[in-house]
Amino acid sequence: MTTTDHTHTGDAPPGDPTRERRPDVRGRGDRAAWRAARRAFRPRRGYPAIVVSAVLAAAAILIAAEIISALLGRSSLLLPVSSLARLGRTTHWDHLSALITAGAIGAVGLLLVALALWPRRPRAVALASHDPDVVLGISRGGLRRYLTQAAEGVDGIARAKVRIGRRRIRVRTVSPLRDTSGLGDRVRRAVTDRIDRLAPLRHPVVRVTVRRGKD
Amino acid sequence: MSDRTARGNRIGLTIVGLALIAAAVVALARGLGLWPGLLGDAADPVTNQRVRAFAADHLWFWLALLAVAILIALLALRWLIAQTRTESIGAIRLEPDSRHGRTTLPAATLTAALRNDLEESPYLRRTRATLNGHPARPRLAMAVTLEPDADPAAAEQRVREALARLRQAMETDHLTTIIEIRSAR
Repeated sequence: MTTTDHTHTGDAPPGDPTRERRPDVRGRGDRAAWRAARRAFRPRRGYPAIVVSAVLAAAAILIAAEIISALLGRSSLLLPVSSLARLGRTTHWDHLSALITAGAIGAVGLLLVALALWPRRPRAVALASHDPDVVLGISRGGLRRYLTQAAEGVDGIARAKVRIGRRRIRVRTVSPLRDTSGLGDRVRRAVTDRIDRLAPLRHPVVRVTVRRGKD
Repeated sequence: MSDRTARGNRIGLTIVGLALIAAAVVALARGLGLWPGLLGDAADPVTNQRVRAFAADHLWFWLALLAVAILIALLALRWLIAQTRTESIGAIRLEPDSRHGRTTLPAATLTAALRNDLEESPYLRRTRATLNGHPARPRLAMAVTLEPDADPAAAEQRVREALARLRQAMETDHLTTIIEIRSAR
Protein backbone atom coordinates (compact mmCIF):
# COMPACT_ATOMS: atom_id res chain seq x y z
CA MET A 1 0.00 0.00 0.00
CA THR A 2 1.18 3.47 -0.74
CA THR A 3 0.05 6.57 1.01
CA THR A 4 0.85 9.96 -0.38
CA ASP A 5 0.20 13.14 1.49
CA HIS A 6 0.41 16.72 0.41
CA THR A 7 -0.21 18.71 3.49
CA HIS A 8 2.35 21.45 3.50
CA THR A 9 2.03 23.06 0.16
CA GLY A 10 4.94 24.95 -1.33
CA ASP A 11 5.19 28.69 -1.38
CA ALA A 12 2.51 30.42 -3.36
CA PRO A 13 3.85 32.46 -6.27
CA PRO A 14 4.27 36.20 -5.62
CA GLY A 15 1.07 38.14 -6.00
CA ASP A 16 -1.02 35.20 -4.93
CA PRO A 17 -3.61 36.40 -2.39
CA THR A 18 -3.19 33.23 -0.32
CA ARG A 19 0.33 34.39 0.46
CA GLU A 20 -0.86 36.93 3.01
CA ARG A 21 -2.66 34.33 5.05
CA ARG A 22 0.21 31.92 5.29
CA PRO A 23 1.61 31.96 8.81
CA ASP A 24 5.20 31.40 7.68
CA VAL A 25 5.35 34.25 5.21
CA ARG A 26 5.37 37.62 6.84
CA GLY A 27 5.87 39.90 3.89
CA ARG A 28 8.88 42.08 3.36
CA GLY A 29 10.95 41.17 6.39
CA ASP A 30 10.56 37.55 5.52
CA ARG A 31 11.53 38.04 1.94
CA ALA A 32 14.62 39.92 3.06
CA ALA A 33 15.48 37.03 5.38
CA TRP A 34 15.04 34.62 2.49
CA ARG A 35 17.34 36.66 0.29
CA ALA A 36 19.95 36.93 3.04
CA ALA A 37 19.85 33.18 3.56
CA ARG A 38 20.15 32.51 -0.17
CA ARG A 39 23.25 34.69 -0.20
CA ALA A 40 24.77 33.19 2.92
CA PHE A 41 24.29 29.59 1.82
CA ARG A 42 25.08 30.10 -1.84
CA PRO A 43 26.83 27.06 -3.30
CA ARG A 44 30.56 27.66 -3.66
CA ARG A 45 31.63 25.08 -6.23
CA GLY A 46 34.72 24.62 -4.09
CA TYR A 47 35.76 21.15 -5.22
CA PRO A 48 35.67 21.81 -8.98
CA ALA A 49 37.48 25.10 -8.40
CA ILE A 50 40.22 23.42 -6.37
CA VAL A 51 40.72 20.66 -8.95
CA VAL A 52 40.74 22.99 -11.96
CA SER A 53 42.97 25.64 -10.40
CA ALA A 54 45.45 23.03 -9.12
CA VAL A 55 45.66 21.21 -12.48
CA LEU A 56 45.98 24.51 -14.34
CA ALA A 57 48.72 25.76 -12.02
CA ALA A 58 50.65 22.49 -12.21
CA ALA A 59 50.44 22.34 -16.01
CA ALA A 60 51.45 25.98 -16.47
CA ILE A 61 54.38 25.68 -14.03
CA LEU A 62 55.56 22.51 -15.76
CA ILE A 63 55.40 24.09 -19.21
CA ALA A 64 57.15 27.25 -18.03
CA ALA A 65 59.91 25.16 -16.42
CA GLU A 66 60.38 23.13 -19.61
CA ILE A 67 60.64 26.27 -21.74
CA ILE A 68 63.20 27.80 -19.37
CA SER A 69 65.27 24.64 -19.31
CA ALA A 70 65.17 24.40 -23.12
CA LEU A 71 66.14 28.06 -23.51
CA LEU A 72 69.10 27.45 -21.22
CA GLY A 73 70.10 24.48 -23.33
CA ARG A 74 69.39 21.90 -20.63
CA SER A 75 67.63 18.61 -21.22
CA SER A 76 63.95 18.27 -20.48
CA LEU A 77 62.84 17.96 -16.85
CA LEU A 78 59.64 16.00 -16.47
CA LEU A 79 57.75 16.19 -19.72
CA PRO A 80 58.76 13.67 -22.45
CA VAL A 81 59.42 16.60 -24.79
CA SER A 82 61.00 14.69 -27.68
CA SER A 83 58.30 12.04 -27.85
CA LEU A 84 55.63 14.75 -27.61
CA ALA A 85 57.31 16.52 -30.53
CA ARG A 86 57.32 13.26 -32.47
CA LEU A 87 53.64 12.79 -31.64
CA GLY A 88 52.94 16.27 -33.04
CA ARG A 89 54.81 15.44 -36.26
CA THR A 90 53.19 12.07 -36.80
CA THR A 91 49.60 12.80 -35.70
CA HIS A 92 47.49 14.43 -38.38
CA TRP A 93 44.51 16.63 -37.61
CA ASP A 94 42.11 14.16 -39.22
CA HIS A 95 43.43 11.15 -37.28
CA LEU A 96 40.89 9.48 -35.09
CA SER A 97 43.13 9.98 -32.06
CA ALA A 98 43.31 13.75 -32.70
CA LEU A 99 39.55 13.98 -33.13
CA ILE A 100 38.91 11.95 -29.99
CA THR A 101 41.34 14.11 -28.00
CA ALA A 102 39.64 17.27 -29.26
CA GLY A 103 36.25 15.80 -28.38
CA ALA A 104 37.41 14.91 -24.89
CA ILE A 105 38.79 18.43 -24.33
CA GLY A 106 35.48 19.86 -25.47
CA ALA A 107 33.56 17.55 -23.14
CA VAL A 108 35.66 18.68 -20.17
CA GLY A 109 35.02 22.29 -21.19
CA LEU A 110 31.27 21.69 -21.35
CA LEU A 111 31.40 19.99 -17.96
CA LEU A 112 33.15 22.98 -16.38
CA VAL A 113 30.73 25.48 -17.89
CA ALA A 114 27.82 23.33 -16.70
CA LEU A 115 29.29 23.15 -13.19
CA ALA A 116 29.66 26.92 -13.16
CA LEU A 117 26.29 27.89 -14.57
CA TRP A 118 23.93 25.07 -13.59
CA PRO A 119 21.97 26.24 -10.56
CA ARG A 120 23.02 24.25 -7.52
CA ARG A 121 21.11 23.75 -4.35
CA PRO A 122 22.07 26.02 -1.49
CA ARG A 123 24.36 24.48 1.11
CA ALA A 124 21.78 24.72 3.86
CA VAL A 125 18.03 24.90 4.33
CA ALA A 126 17.14 28.37 5.60
CA LEU A 127 15.33 28.54 8.94
CA ALA A 128 13.44 31.40 10.54
CA SER A 129 15.81 33.06 12.98
CA HIS A 130 13.36 35.57 14.55
CA ASP A 131 16.17 38.11 14.43
CA PRO A 132 16.89 40.28 11.40
CA ASP A 133 20.62 40.17 12.19
CA VAL A 134 20.83 36.39 12.21
CA VAL A 135 20.77 34.10 9.20
CA LEU A 136 20.15 30.55 10.28
CA GLY A 137 20.35 27.36 8.28
CA ILE A 138 20.59 23.64 8.73
CA SER A 139 22.72 21.53 6.44
CA ARG A 140 20.90 19.16 4.14
CA GLY A 141 22.56 16.17 5.78
CA GLY A 142 21.64 17.40 9.25
CA LEU A 143 18.01 17.88 8.30
CA ARG A 144 17.92 14.49 6.61
CA ARG A 145 19.26 12.72 9.67
CA TYR A 146 16.87 14.54 11.97
CA LEU A 147 13.81 13.72 9.88
CA THR A 148 14.92 10.13 9.33
CA GLN A 149 15.02 9.68 13.09
CA ALA A 150 11.52 11.11 13.35
CA ALA A 151 10.15 8.75 10.71
CA GLU A 152 11.91 5.72 12.13
CA GLY A 153 10.63 6.62 15.60
CA VAL A 154 7.07 5.96 14.49
CA ASP A 155 5.73 2.59 15.69
CA GLY A 156 5.51 0.13 12.83
CA ILE A 157 8.20 1.73 10.69
CA ALA A 158 11.26 -0.41 10.13
CA ARG A 159 13.29 1.87 7.91
CA ALA A 160 12.97 5.33 6.50
CA LYS A 161 14.82 7.18 3.80
CA VAL A 162 14.51 10.93 3.51
CA ARG A 163 15.37 13.02 0.51
CA ILE A 164 15.57 16.77 0.83
CA GLY A 165 14.70 18.51 -2.39
CA ARG A 166 14.52 22.18 -3.16
CA ARG A 167 10.84 22.43 -2.25
CA ARG A 168 9.92 18.90 -1.45
CA ILE A 169 10.85 16.36 1.17
CA ARG A 170 10.28 12.74 0.30
CA VAL A 171 10.05 10.20 3.05
CA ARG A 172 10.15 6.61 1.89
CA THR A 173 9.43 4.13 4.63
CA VAL A 174 9.24 0.38 4.92
CA SER A 175 6.91 -1.28 7.39
CA PRO A 176 6.71 -4.95 8.35
CA LEU A 177 3.06 -4.57 9.43
CA ARG A 178 0.31 -6.22 7.46
CA ASP A 179 -2.06 -3.33 7.94
CA THR A 180 -0.35 -0.06 7.18
CA SER A 181 -3.44 2.12 7.06
CA GLY A 182 -2.91 5.40 8.86
CA LEU A 183 0.79 4.73 9.11
CA GLY A 184 1.63 7.25 6.40
CA ASP A 185 -0.36 9.86 8.27
CA ARG A 186 1.53 9.19 11.47
CA VAL A 187 4.88 9.40 9.72
CA ARG A 188 3.86 12.62 8.06
CA ARG A 189 2.77 14.06 11.38
CA ALA A 190 6.05 13.09 13.04
CA VAL A 191 8.07 14.58 10.21
CA THR A 192 6.08 17.79 9.82
CA ASP A 193 6.11 18.21 13.58
CA ARG A 194 9.88 18.30 13.53
CA ILE A 195 9.92 20.58 10.48
CA ASP A 196 7.57 22.95 12.29
CA ARG A 197 9.88 23.03 15.28
CA LEU A 198 12.74 24.03 13.03
CA ALA A 199 10.57 26.63 11.30
CA PRO A 200 12.07 26.74 7.80
CA LEU A 201 11.58 30.00 5.93
CA ARG A 202 9.84 28.06 3.22
CA HIS A 203 7.78 25.11 4.25
CA PRO A 204 8.52 22.16 2.01
CA VAL A 205 5.93 19.78 0.64
CA VAL A 206 6.19 16.53 2.58
CA ARG A 207 5.49 13.33 0.74
CA VAL A 208 5.35 10.06 2.57
CA THR A 209 5.24 6.64 1.03
CA VAL A 210 4.86 3.45 3.04
CA ARG A 211 5.93 0.21 1.50
CA ARG A 212 5.26 -3.13 3.07
CA GLY A 213 8.29 -5.30 3.49
CA LYS A 214 10.55 -7.12 5.86
CA ASP A 215 13.03 -5.19 7.93
CA MET B 1 35.51 30.76 2.19
CA SER B 2 33.91 34.05 1.39
CA ASP B 3 31.05 35.19 -0.73
CA ARG B 4 33.47 36.65 -3.26
CA THR B 5 35.09 33.26 -3.67
CA ALA B 6 31.78 31.69 -4.68
CA ARG B 7 31.46 34.22 -7.48
CA GLY B 8 35.11 33.90 -8.46
CA ASN B 9 34.76 30.14 -8.73
CA ARG B 10 31.85 30.50 -11.13
CA ILE B 11 33.76 32.96 -13.28
CA GLY B 12 36.95 30.90 -13.24
CA LEU B 13 35.22 27.66 -14.15
CA THR B 14 33.33 29.41 -16.97
CA ILE B 15 36.48 30.95 -18.45
CA VAL B 16 38.48 27.71 -18.35
CA GLY B 17 35.51 25.77 -19.71
CA LEU B 18 34.96 28.19 -22.59
CA ALA B 19 38.68 28.16 -23.46
CA LEU B 20 38.65 24.36 -23.62
CA ILE B 21 35.48 24.36 -25.72
CA ALA B 22 36.98 26.92 -28.14
CA ALA B 23 40.17 24.87 -28.52
CA ALA B 24 38.16 21.70 -29.10
CA VAL B 25 35.90 23.34 -31.68
CA VAL B 26 38.87 24.66 -33.66
CA ALA B 27 40.68 21.30 -33.52
CA LEU B 28 37.56 19.38 -34.55
CA ALA B 29 36.77 21.82 -37.36
CA ARG B 30 40.29 21.43 -38.71
CA GLY B 31 40.29 17.65 -38.34
CA LEU B 32 36.94 17.36 -40.11
CA GLY B 33 38.12 19.73 -42.86
CA LEU B 34 35.30 22.24 -42.32
CA TRP B 35 37.20 25.42 -43.30
CA PRO B 36 40.44 24.29 -44.92
CA GLY B 37 40.96 27.79 -46.33
CA LEU B 38 40.93 29.35 -42.86
CA LEU B 39 42.28 26.62 -40.60
CA GLY B 40 44.54 24.64 -42.92
CA ASP B 41 44.55 21.17 -44.39
CA ALA B 42 42.90 18.43 -42.33
CA ALA B 43 45.55 15.93 -43.43
CA ASP B 44 48.40 18.06 -42.06
CA PRO B 45 50.35 16.90 -39.03
CA VAL B 46 49.36 18.69 -35.82
CA THR B 47 52.73 20.45 -35.88
CA ASN B 48 53.49 20.79 -39.57
CA GLN B 49 56.68 21.99 -41.23
CA ARG B 50 55.67 25.66 -41.11
CA VAL B 51 54.80 25.60 -37.42
CA ARG B 52 58.03 23.80 -36.55
CA ALA B 53 60.16 26.17 -38.61
CA PHE B 54 58.44 29.21 -37.10
CA ALA B 55 58.97 27.96 -33.55
CA ALA B 56 62.59 27.04 -34.25
CA ASP B 57 63.44 30.40 -35.87
CA HIS B 58 61.79 32.81 -33.47
CA LEU B 59 63.07 33.13 -29.94
CA TRP B 60 60.30 35.58 -29.07
CA PHE B 61 57.73 32.85 -29.68
CA TRP B 62 59.17 30.84 -26.80
CA LEU B 63 59.52 33.90 -24.59
CA ALA B 64 55.89 34.84 -25.24
CA LEU B 65 54.81 31.28 -24.52
CA LEU B 66 56.84 31.38 -21.31
CA ALA B 67 55.22 34.67 -20.27
CA VAL B 68 51.74 33.27 -20.92
CA ALA B 69 52.54 30.10 -18.96
CA ILE B 70 53.84 32.10 -15.99
CA LEU B 71 50.79 34.37 -16.08
CA ILE B 72 48.42 31.41 -16.13
CA ALA B 73 50.38 29.73 -13.32
CA LEU B 74 50.14 32.86 -11.13
CA LEU B 75 46.41 33.33 -11.79
CA ALA B 76 45.69 29.65 -11.10
CA LEU B 77 47.68 29.70 -7.86
CA ARG B 78 45.87 32.83 -6.75
CA TRP B 79 42.56 31.15 -7.52
CA LEU B 80 43.62 28.08 -5.55
CA ILE B 81 44.70 30.14 -2.54
CA ALA B 82 41.42 32.08 -2.65
CA GLN B 83 39.62 28.87 -1.65
CA THR B 84 40.96 29.29 1.88
CA ARG B 85 40.06 32.98 2.11
CA THR B 86 37.75 33.80 5.00
CA GLU B 87 38.03 37.59 5.29
CA SER B 88 38.44 37.07 9.01
CA ILE B 89 39.65 39.95 11.13
CA GLY B 90 42.04 39.97 14.09
CA ALA B 91 40.30 42.45 16.30
CA ILE B 92 37.03 44.28 16.60
CA ARG B 93 36.44 47.89 17.61
CA LEU B 94 34.04 48.41 20.46
CA GLU B 95 33.10 52.07 19.90
CA PRO B 96 32.10 52.60 16.33
CA ASP B 97 32.57 56.35 16.89
CA SER B 98 36.32 56.89 16.95
CA ARG B 99 35.99 60.43 18.41
CA HIS B 100 35.40 58.82 21.79
CA GLY B 101 38.63 56.94 21.67
CA ARG B 102 39.26 53.44 20.52
CA THR B 103 38.84 50.18 22.34
CA THR B 104 39.67 47.05 20.46
CA LEU B 105 39.11 43.47 21.43
CA PRO B 106 40.92 40.52 19.88
CA ALA B 107 38.52 38.53 17.72
CA ALA B 108 40.08 35.28 18.94
CA THR B 109 39.09 36.08 22.54
CA LEU B 110 35.47 36.53 21.53
CA THR B 111 35.24 33.46 19.34
CA ALA B 112 37.01 31.36 21.99
CA ALA B 113 34.51 32.58 24.60
CA LEU B 114 31.68 31.60 22.28
CA ARG B 115 33.19 28.17 21.70
CA ASN B 116 33.68 27.60 25.43
CA ASP B 117 30.13 28.68 26.10
CA LEU B 118 28.77 26.18 23.58
CA GLU B 119 31.15 23.40 24.51
CA GLU B 120 29.21 22.85 27.71
CA SER B 121 26.12 21.98 25.75
CA PRO B 122 25.45 18.26 25.47
CA TYR B 123 23.94 18.77 22.01
CA LEU B 124 26.95 20.29 20.35
CA ARG B 125 30.02 18.43 19.33
CA ARG B 126 31.96 21.21 17.65
CA THR B 127 31.65 24.92 17.06
CA ARG B 128 33.51 26.97 14.52
CA ALA B 129 33.29 30.72 14.68
CA THR B 130 35.05 33.53 12.85
CA LEU B 131 34.56 37.27 12.86
CA ASN B 132 34.72 38.73 9.37
CA GLY B 133 34.34 42.04 7.67
CA HIS B 134 35.34 45.40 9.11
CA PRO B 135 36.56 45.86 12.73
CA ALA B 136 33.83 48.43 13.40
CA ARG B 137 31.10 46.34 11.76
CA PRO B 138 32.11 42.74 12.28
CA ARG B 139 30.07 39.83 11.01
CA LEU B 140 30.01 36.51 12.78
CA ALA B 141 30.06 33.24 10.86
CA MET B 142 29.31 30.12 12.88
CA ALA B 143 29.13 26.45 12.03
CA VAL B 144 27.87 24.24 14.84
CA THR B 145 28.03 20.48 14.55
CA LEU B 146 25.41 18.61 16.53
CA GLU B 147 25.74 15.25 18.19
CA PRO B 148 23.95 12.60 16.07
CA ASP B 149 20.99 12.29 18.44
CA ALA B 150 20.71 15.98 19.31
CA ASP B 151 17.57 17.97 18.74
CA PRO B 152 18.38 20.81 16.32
CA ALA B 153 15.63 23.01 17.71
CA ALA B 154 17.03 22.71 21.25
CA ALA B 155 20.56 23.28 19.99
CA GLU B 156 19.38 26.33 18.11
CA GLN B 157 17.99 27.76 21.33
CA ARG B 158 21.31 27.10 23.04
CA VAL B 159 23.21 28.85 20.26
CA ARG B 160 20.85 31.80 20.48
CA GLU B 161 21.58 32.18 24.20
CA ALA B 162 25.33 32.00 23.62
CA LEU B 163 24.98 34.60 20.89
CA ALA B 164 23.10 36.92 23.25
CA ARG B 165 25.94 36.62 25.77
CA LEU B 166 28.50 37.33 23.07
CA ARG B 167 26.64 40.45 22.01
CA GLN B 168 26.59 41.56 25.60
CA ALA B 169 30.36 41.10 25.81
CA MET B 170 30.75 43.08 22.61
CA GLU B 171 28.43 45.77 23.95
CA THR B 172 26.31 45.68 20.85
CA ASP B 173 22.70 44.92 20.02
CA HIS B 174 23.41 44.21 16.41
CA LEU B 175 25.76 41.58 15.16
CA THR B 176 25.18 40.18 11.71
CA THR B 177 25.48 36.44 12.15
CA ILE B 178 25.34 33.43 9.87
CA ILE B 179 24.74 30.14 11.66
CA GLU B 180 24.96 26.83 9.87
CA ILE B 181 23.77 23.81 11.81
CA ARG B 182 25.35 20.53 10.80
CA SER B 183 25.08 17.12 12.31
CA ALA B 184 27.77 14.60 13.07
CA ARG B 185 27.63 11.15 11.57
